[in-house]
Amino acid sequence: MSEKIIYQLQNLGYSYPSGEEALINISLNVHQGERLILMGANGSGKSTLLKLMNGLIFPSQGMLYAFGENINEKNLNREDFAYAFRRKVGFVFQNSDAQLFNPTVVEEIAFGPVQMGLTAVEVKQRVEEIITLLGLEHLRNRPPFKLSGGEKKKVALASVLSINPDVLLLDEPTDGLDPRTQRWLINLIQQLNEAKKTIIMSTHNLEIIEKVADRVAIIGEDHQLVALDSRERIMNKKSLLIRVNLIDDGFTEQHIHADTHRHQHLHD
Amino acid sequence: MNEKAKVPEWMLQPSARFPPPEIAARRKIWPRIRSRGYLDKNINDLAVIVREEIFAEAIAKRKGLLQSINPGVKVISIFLLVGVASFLHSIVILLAMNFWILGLAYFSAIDLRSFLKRIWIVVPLFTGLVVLPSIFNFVRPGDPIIILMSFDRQLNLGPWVLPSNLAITHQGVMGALTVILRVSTCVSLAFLLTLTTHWHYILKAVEILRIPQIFITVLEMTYHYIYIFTQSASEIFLARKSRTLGTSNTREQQRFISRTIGALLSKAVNLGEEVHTAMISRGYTGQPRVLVSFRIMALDWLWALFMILSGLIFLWGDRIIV
Repeated sequence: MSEKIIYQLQNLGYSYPSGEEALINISLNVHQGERLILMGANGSGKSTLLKLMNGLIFPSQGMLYAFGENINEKNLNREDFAYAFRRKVGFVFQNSDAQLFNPTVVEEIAFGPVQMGLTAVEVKQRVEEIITLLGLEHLRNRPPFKLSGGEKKKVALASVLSINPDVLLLDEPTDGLDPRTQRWLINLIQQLNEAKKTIIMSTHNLEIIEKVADRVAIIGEDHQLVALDSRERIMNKKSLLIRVNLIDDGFTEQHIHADTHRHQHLHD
Repeated sequence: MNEKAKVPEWMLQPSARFPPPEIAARRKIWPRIRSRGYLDKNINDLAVIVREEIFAEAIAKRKGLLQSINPGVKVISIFLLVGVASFLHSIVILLAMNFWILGLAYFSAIDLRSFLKRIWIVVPLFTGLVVLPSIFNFVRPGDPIIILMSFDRQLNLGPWVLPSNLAITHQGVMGALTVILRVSTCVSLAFLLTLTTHWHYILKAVEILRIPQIFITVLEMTYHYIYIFTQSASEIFLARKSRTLGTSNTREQQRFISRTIGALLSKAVNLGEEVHTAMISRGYTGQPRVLVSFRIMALDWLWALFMILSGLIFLWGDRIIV
């Protein structure tokens, strides 16, 4: 893991227009090539944090720096700044339906590159490569809204990957996927990370944390950062996980130990 | 959820027997098939039509005459013909132009029956209502064809003097017919354009006409919004269907619509905002960009020439006949 910091969050806070607080005083750094997982109970503010990191909404308090630049409304209103930032950072929404709005899968995947102003030849080449990478050949000319949940998620991912962002923000990507598609996604995320992509992802899925995370940040139900540590250390603090409502007393965790054997046991 | 709260007793009981005993007993009798209800017919069909027809752009994907014309040339030439149609006065020429458009539709692989239905249900209904008063001599004086009512004297209503007969006039009917035909011609041309062209291409082509950016963005968002709206509507409808026990009558269904329309709107607004942020996240800046080179080919020149000539012929015909 390189030590270059790409995201710097300093005392970040976000309140809805109604005044309700969604995030309070979040400070953390994300390093290049890192796999950071955001954990937190429903409604703790994970999605809001990802939207802030994508410059879709802007902090009410504190500062947010990406690649050393201040991510605020003024900067993102500058066309050149927004252009560069959108190329750098891709966001896969939790709700695939929100992300898919083109008449066909091909056009969906081409949307980003076309907005980036690539030439027709470059766009076509990219689209084809992404289609092959994600195995979407048979869906090519289908309208995205007619696909199954797993297919929609794949197309949503494809539509972001075609921009070739350095940072991937994924909002609960395994939500609603069957086990095989989940495993496929985990493999893909690992491959992307090997290709030096930084992965920032929110999830409740303990298997994905086990396989993917370098570090885990936990946001509590009070919308504050409760813990930020390596995966091993976080996963061994059962009392913490119970306190922030990520596991409960009846929880038995299934570990998968280096694919050699499986067993169930309780941590204390 | 309250950890200490107990599941109520009734919830621990098995729910109704299935199939219910009275139905099981009647099983051998042919089941009564209910006709589809008011909701089923309206909301769901609307959603299906919007998705299949507008968003899947099925006709625009077919191979046909208009589909192979450069969108920019198509937009300009059709706007030109809309202009021509609004100058025409002769009913004969307007009728001829309607048939000419039907011909274009035929060669563009459009189903003529549904094309005619779309136009001739909508246009007479709306335009017809607007021009209806003008066929009477009270609104537009002229030579009476049919006298509907006779009064013994002229009526004085303040500054207005109403004639002693209420009649449908020749001038009124011809005027109304001209307006209806003119509108139907323009609507047919608009349908021809939108049916045979991908929406994003139309927006891109409209840019050529130097229409301000903000209008294009609004149109683009409207397009996405309608899609989300119908999607939410059909989801609400399905959720209701799955929880509907027994039958519900039309009145109850109408009440359901009036009650849920607000919820539907706010749902669609939320999702619409999410779609917008998803677009921004992928680099959308309000400028429609599409993956198509609007190169003008020989066919496009021929088409432009054909459209200009047709327009001139209609204008010339209009002069001679009137």
